Amino acid sequence: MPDMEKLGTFEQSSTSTTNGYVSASFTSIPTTYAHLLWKGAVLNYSSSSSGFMYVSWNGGAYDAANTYGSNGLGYQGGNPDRFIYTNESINAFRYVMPADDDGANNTSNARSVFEGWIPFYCGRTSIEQGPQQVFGWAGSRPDGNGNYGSLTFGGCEKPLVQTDITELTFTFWPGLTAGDSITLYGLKG
Amino acid sequence: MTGIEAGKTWSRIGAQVAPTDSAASGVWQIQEASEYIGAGTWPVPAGPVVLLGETHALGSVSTYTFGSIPQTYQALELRGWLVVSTTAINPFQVHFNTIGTNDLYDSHIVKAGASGGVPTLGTAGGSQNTMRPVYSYTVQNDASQPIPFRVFIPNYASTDKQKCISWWSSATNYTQYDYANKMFAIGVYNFQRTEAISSITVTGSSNFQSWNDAVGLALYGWG
Repeated sequence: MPDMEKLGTFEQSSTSTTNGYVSASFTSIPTTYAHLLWKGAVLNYSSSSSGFMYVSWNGGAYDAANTYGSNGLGYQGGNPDRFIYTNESINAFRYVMPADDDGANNTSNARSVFEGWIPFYCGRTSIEQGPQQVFGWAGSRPDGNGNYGSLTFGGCEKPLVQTDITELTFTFWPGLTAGDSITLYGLKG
Repeated sequence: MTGIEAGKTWSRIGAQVAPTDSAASGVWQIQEASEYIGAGTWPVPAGPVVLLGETHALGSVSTYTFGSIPQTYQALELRGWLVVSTTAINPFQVHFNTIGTNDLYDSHIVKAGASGGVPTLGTAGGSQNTMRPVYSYTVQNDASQPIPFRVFIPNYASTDKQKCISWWSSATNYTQYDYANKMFAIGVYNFQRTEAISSITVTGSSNFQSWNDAVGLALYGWG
């Protein structure tokens, strides 16, 4: 077994213009590594709506309230530039702006990129190992002019819950564009 | 030994056992190979990402060093998962090449727990000989809230360029298990030396401690 291995790749085959939530899941994740990592790139097809993405696990509803704590910190390019941040109690880690309005032209195909890490996603047997925590960061291009960039960084945890993570679900709004992809890796250590 | 040397066109694959007067290692069958691969014990080439070292310390420790780091990768990545044994505002530092002079620059931005729904944003920077992933935020002695952090060090083996090291960390203040009492920090550490980085030391301001196989430090090389 290599020290790092690709566990799976999701690729969107056609553009989904549901103007709603679209999910991609990795299931039956093996419990033979120490960490889970993911890398992805998505393009918001919408010319008018900002986008965002949730990460949830083990079948948990991404929008269930009051069981998880989610935090984010970021920077939104614009005029003026500004800090952005979130404090939420939702059932997922939410990337604040991983996909965003590409403007009326929507021709740049400038995908937002994101990464994430779940340290020690399995085998937690005592409270000293802490609850399951998810961390991630993302960068995006917020408008069609191409003059600005945005980034976000944050995490989520479910206090006192240590259940092995064997399923990861990424939920996007307002949809996905053909060619969007997410790759999941297992890492030793 | 002649006849079973690895890498020859007539050699067998897998672990070799020298023949004796009464027994000789046989050729690996595909089923055997599959079983070993499934068990994770079959030798495979080291991938583009290699685990260079790790520690999962039991009990209280105050420092850990990754020394003699191979200089053959494009980048290093350090991932940590620590718990402090004493409440501290600067619970641990990361030290490169044990440089003592405070002429290296650590800067970061921190988002701390919310007050009235609005979190506190802070920045810090200064000349230091160590990188401080949880500086300016008080972390309580709470065994159930390990501090994860990740450090990325590209171009660490160069001998003619300074290094720009990025990092991020997260921590929870005391036992308030909610989103309003959590911090995140992201920063950059300017290693303003051209020497290659050959050792990394993680040191607790007081002791940090890690209890079991699911906490510790891991250093990776990226090819």
